[in-house]
Amino acid sequence: MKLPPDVTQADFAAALKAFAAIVGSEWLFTSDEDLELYRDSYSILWDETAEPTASAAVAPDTSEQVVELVKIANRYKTPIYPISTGKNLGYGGAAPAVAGSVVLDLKRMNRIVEINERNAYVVVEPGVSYFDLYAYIQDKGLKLWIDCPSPGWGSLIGNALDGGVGVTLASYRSHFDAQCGIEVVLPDGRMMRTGMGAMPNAKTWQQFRPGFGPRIDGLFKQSNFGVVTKMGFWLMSAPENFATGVVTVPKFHDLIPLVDTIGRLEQSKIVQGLWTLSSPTTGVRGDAAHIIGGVPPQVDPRITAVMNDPAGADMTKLDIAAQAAGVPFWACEFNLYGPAKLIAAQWECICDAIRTIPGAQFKLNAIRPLPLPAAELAPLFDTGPFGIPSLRTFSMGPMISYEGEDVVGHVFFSPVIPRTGEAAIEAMDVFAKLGRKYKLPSPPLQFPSSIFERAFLFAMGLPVTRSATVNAKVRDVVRELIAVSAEHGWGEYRTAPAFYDTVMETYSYNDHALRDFLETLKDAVDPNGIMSVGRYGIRPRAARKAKA
Amino acid sequence: MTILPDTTAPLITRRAVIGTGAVAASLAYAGSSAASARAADNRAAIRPIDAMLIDDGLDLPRPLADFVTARARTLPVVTIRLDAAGHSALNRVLNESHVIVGITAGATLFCVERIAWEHGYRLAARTQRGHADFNAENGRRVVAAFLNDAHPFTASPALPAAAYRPSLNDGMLHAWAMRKDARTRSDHTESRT
Repeated sequence: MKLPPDVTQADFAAALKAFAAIVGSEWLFTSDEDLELYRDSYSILWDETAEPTASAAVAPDTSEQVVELVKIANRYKTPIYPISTGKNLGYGGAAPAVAGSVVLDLKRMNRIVEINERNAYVVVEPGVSYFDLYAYIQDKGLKLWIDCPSPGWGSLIGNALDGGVGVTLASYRSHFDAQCGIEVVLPDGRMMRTGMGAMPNAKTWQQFRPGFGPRIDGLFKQSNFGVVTKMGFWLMSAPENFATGVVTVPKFHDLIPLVDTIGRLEQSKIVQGLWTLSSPTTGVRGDAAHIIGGVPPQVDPRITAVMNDPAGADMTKLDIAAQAAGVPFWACEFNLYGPAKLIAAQWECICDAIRTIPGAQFKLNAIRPLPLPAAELAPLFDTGPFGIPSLRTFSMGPMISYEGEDVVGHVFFSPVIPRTGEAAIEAMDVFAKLGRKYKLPSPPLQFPSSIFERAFLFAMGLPVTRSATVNAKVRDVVRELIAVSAEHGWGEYRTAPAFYDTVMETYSYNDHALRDFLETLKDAVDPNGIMSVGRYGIRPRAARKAKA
Repeated sequence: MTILPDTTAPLITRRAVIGTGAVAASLAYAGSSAASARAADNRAAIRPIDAMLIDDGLDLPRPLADFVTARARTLPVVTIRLDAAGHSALNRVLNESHVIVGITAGATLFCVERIAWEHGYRLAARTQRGHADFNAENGRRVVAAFLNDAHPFTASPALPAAAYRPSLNDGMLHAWAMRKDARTRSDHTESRT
């Protein structure tokens, strides 16, 4: 049996016995067969000695059981690693950050504690998935929408705590920012509620985020200061209609005024839905990207020649080829929600603002009443913009091989770059060069995402294989990407456990003042160092000494 | 015939199902009544296959489609879609079943395996073949082998996550069996609105 670090066989056995007494022996997992399922299927350290695998897993059913388990973990100084549903593939899955930790599997805690249609919020436990909440809302006929990531089988709480994002309106897309009120079991086993929830019988826990005094909710995002057992989320009132509008602009450098103009529309809350940047030069234009089996536009051979240049697609040449072929360089698709007259007004404002760019063209697609009929939803690749979770992202599959090895998954490299056209152009160039250098299976043109409200995300999925040699190379590539990004002032917003320390190292202002502060807090609230050791690079004192 | 656990047995056969702790009534679907009676004598806890899951995203080769059609006369056949409606349907099947078999792409199996895990299921056996293996010449033989427990596949119950490639378009069809043990995800309904 694998042991947690610095725990004796006798103490570990005693801890497991005590865990079983709380949850029942059937909810304590120690067999190889069971623990196999707590591995990260997309681990970039698969089958290597450094792969962080669990020593055991325990699955409580209530917050009170969590309290008791945390107390036991302290008694035997046994590290525990809470997971919600363990579905954040590419960012760690169900595996702990440090080998030998006992996974605290919260999937049995799947109660929808409260849902309020009038004030549009929900309180859930960690085991509630986006599918669960969607099904519940549909079953009850509530006029509420959820904002879900793709894929949608993950936990609302787990996704929010990991910094996950969705695809509907801006104020709901950042899932941690859409939370309102946390119940958490602290590392000493004491239960706490944040915000207005600190008042017994509070009537506004899910309605007023600031609470009284310091707002500490953020301490529980991407951290290891407790086990979140309940969380409130603001939901979206179901919109009446949906439409997409596509804008094209002709030239490569039109991206700069385009991003500035859209930025002003977003800052004034005229544009609230997600907008997606693409280039018709790639053969994909706006809404065509969302239709399975749709006929892609024909690509002009002059453009193809530039795209297929082994030295990389030269943007100046591509710009010339696109203009010669009469193909606009950029397309921007807006998702618009609300009453029909609001959508029409939003679109009019968008057109008025972007029309200042010479050659801009506009097309508003049909305004459709919601919900869409099932027959119309069925062929859509991504139902996320309609607040409907799916797993269709898996139907894309890792269809490629890398370095002669089958690709089984990916790790994300996820830098945040400034919301300007200049930064987008620079990032496209920087990452395309690195992609060519390492022959990464990425397209010749990759675009930033506007999923965040004020910055771009430039996410890249890097291949994971079952070859230790190839995975070691990919790890080196990720570290180089992180270093190059840091040189440009671009930091990652989220990463896989294998890179927690590497990324945290880049947040080094004033000799790592942030990390030192977090670890000072860690030592204060978790003196035995039992809670999610190493998560997001935050270590308790003993683990810092061991690492040094 | 042996009814002992046989980790080398092929899939969607009575031998594989029995060998993984699954059940006797399945023999009524797949085999003789005499074999069924023997199995029932030897394993009191034997249970039938409760449902067959077919991947909606797959264009099944004709012989395999015929096989599924034939099985549908005696066994619930459920189409798996990777969307919200499909997820709800899958949850209902998982709640109401103990032993399921399926024919899917690797990516769909990857999803189903993890969802089924939350209902207490474990992948018990799996095998895979390329689309081309189900062509007109040998398709009927392969399908018959599925039925008659005579084809040369090798099941691989160990390390399921490592053993298959979760990709839809790699041309592989995966046939598999899952069984439920006693531990299932809670079905809480105590929310208030």
